[in-house]
Amino acid sequence: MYQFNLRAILVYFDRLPQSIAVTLALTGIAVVASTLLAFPIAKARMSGIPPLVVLARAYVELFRNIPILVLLYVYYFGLAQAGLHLSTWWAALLALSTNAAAYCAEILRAGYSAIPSGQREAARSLGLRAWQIEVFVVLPQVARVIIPPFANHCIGVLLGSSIAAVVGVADLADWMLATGSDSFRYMESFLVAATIYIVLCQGVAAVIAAIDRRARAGLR
Amino acid sequence: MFATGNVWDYWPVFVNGLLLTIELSLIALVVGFVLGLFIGLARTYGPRPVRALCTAFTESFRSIPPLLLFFGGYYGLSYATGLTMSPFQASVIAMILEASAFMSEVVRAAFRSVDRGQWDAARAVGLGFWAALWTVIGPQAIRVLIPPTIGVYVAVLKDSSFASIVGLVELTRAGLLVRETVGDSLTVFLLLSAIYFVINYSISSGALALERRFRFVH
Repeated sequence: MYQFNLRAILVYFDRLPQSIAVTLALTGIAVVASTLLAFPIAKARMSGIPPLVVLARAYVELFRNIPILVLLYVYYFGLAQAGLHLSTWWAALLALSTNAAAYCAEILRAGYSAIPSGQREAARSLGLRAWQIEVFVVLPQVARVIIPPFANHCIGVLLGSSIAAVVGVADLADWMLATGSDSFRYMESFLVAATIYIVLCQGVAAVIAAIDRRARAGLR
Repeated sequence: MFATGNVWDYWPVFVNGLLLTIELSLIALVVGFVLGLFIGLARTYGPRPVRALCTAFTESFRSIPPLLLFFGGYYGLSYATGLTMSPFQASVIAMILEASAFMSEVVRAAFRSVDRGQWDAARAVGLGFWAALWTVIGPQAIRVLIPPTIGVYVAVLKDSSFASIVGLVELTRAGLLVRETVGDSLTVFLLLSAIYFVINYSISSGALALERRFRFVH
């Protein structure tokens, strides 16, 4: 008869901080990389130049509609066959970032379209250069608008980062897979890992909500 | 590499995998829709403890990566209950949990989007809570509900690829199997990407068309 016994997997807990750190590192780097990648895509989408618009749309639709797991297999197995051998870490990071960039580009586009054109006109009439308008006038306002959807985006990347375990990156999901198959305490390791993911998600949401409050306070 | 044959020779494997993927995600969506409707309504109109419970359910299952749900559903439940779960049963359970959490959010947002005045008016003409919900609020909420529901379906269909982890031969696992036989990883996974893309893109384009069709004109 099965008995729930958390103590049975207690010996595996010393590997937990390390695996949580890997999950957070993967998430953090992917969020930054995807945001950097999303900027040119969003800009191209809004450029009004037909070939650029089509390319940007194609990128977004393509990467939003392919499961991230399949994307990982393309990068890890597919590219290896084509001669490009990515390590598990880089393949996972690439899959996460290229997938997240599609969502992030849409968030940025919505952010840009929320800025009234009067802001640009006013800045231009003050004699600001194009890059100054972009950096000092538009970007700060875009940043403020996109904070709430960006929080959901970060949580999505955090959840998606669990794909790394499939190819064997030692993240939190991998801790669960390894602990489960080593101790046969599948339910326990699932519950521990699931609880940590829930806490991490709530943590990310809380941090971004705090940033949002500060950004709003700056408006008054 | 010991290549035996061509990827395209194995097209029936892909077709069967695809059918299973669609079957799985449809079951998850339909059951998830019903459960999500109850949970979402309880979260919006229920008494405080019920509301807290439903919020905890939604927040939890939205914050657990699908990989973990399939793992927990298959190995976890099998070991914990002593029942031998088939990969299909485990996948259905995992996906229903995920879909109902997503749907309850959609339902809550849809019912909240109905103007408060509609409630006041319905109550003022003497309708009870359920009558008002069924005849006045519900029909308005359902219009708002349809487009994001299709979004949920696409999300669920994509996440069904994680069922390959527990050995269910849906589309992704079918691809992995063909890869093992043929060895042509690049073709197999590009083909998988293309199939998923075509299906999901057609569904979401359909959603967009529906959204235009159902848009409220005041």
